[in-house]
Amino acid sequence: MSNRLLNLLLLLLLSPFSQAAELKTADFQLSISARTPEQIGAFYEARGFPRPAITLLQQQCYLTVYFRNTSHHIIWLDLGNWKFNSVGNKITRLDRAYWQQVWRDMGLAMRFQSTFRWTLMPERLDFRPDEREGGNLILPYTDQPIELQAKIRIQGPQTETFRTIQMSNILCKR
Amino acid sequence: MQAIVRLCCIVLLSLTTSYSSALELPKGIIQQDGRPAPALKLSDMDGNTTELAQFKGRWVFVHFWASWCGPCRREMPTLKGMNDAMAGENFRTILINTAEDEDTVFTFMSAVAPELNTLMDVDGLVTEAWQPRGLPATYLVDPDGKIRYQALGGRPWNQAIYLKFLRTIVE
Repeated sequence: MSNRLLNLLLLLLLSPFSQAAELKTADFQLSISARTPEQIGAFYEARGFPRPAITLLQQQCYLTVYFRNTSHHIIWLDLGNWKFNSVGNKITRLDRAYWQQVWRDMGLAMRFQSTFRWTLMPERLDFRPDEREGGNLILPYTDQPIELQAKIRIQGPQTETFRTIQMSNILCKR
Repeated sequence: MQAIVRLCCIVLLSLTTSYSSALELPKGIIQQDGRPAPALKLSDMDGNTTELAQFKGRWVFVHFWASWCGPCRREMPTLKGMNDAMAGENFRTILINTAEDEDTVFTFMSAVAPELNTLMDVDGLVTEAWQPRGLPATYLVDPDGKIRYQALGGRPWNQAIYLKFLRTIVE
C-alpha cells in the first residue's frame, strides 16, 4: 500500500465521518461513527501494534467521537455522564482503566499503550469556545442498536446549565 | 499644570491601550496559571539530547505531535514557517513526537517538514507528564520555565496574528 494511501486511511480514521450519527445544538456538535474491523486493523497495524492487541480491539464495538464547542461558554465533556444502552440493557464502556489492565496483562510495550491512550476520547475535558476534539470510545460488541444518553454541562460566566441529549440507532460494525 | 496632567493622562491611556492589545490572544490560545513546566529531557533520532532547562532565559514553544493525528499533519508546515519567522528572537521551538517509532517519524518528517527536527518521546511518558488536552498540543513556556499559554488543537502558526502574538510575548 502506498504511503499516501495509508496516510489517507489514517486520516479517515480520526476525522468526522459522513455516515456518523450526528447531533447539532446551539452550543455544540457531536458525531459518533462506528469503525469496521478493517479500519481498526489498518490503523494499529500501521503503528506496529502486535497482532493479539489488534485482534482484541477488532472484536469490540469501536466508536469514533467528534465533539465541537460552538458556543461562547465552557462545555464540560464528562464520559462518566454518558450512558449506553441496547434493547433495554446497560452497556458498560471499556474505559482506560480496563484497557490498562488488559495491556499490562498482555505485556504490551509502553509506546503502544501510550498511542492507544491518545486515540481514546478524553474522560473529562472543559471544551473552550470553538475547541474540538476527536477520539474513540470502545464498547463490548453487540449486533443490536445502541442508544446513548448523555448529560452535558454548559458553564457560562454566571450560570451553569445541563443539557441531556440522546442519540439512538448507533450500530457497531463487524 | 493642567496641560501636564492632560499629557500624563494621554501617556497613561496609550500605555494601557498598547499593553492590553499586546495581551490580545489569537483564536485558540488560552492563558495558563504559570505552573512550572514538567521536566523534559529527550533525544532526537540522531541521539542528540535536549533538555528544557537548558533554555532558561528564553521563551520555549513546546509542541507534542503524532503522525496519525490529522490536525498535526496540517499544522506541521505552519510550524516551519513560524520557526523561520522567529529566527533570531529569544525563542526556541521544541517538537516532541509521542510514542512512534523512528521509521514512522522519519518518513513523516521527510514528507511534511524535512527542515524540522523532533525529539522522540519513545514510551510516551514525557507527553503524559505534560497532560495535554489532546494531540497536537502546544505550550509556551516563559524564560523562568513556567507555562504561560497553551494552544487548543492545531493552529496556523505562520499567520501574522500568531507571529505578532509570539513576538509580543518574547519582547
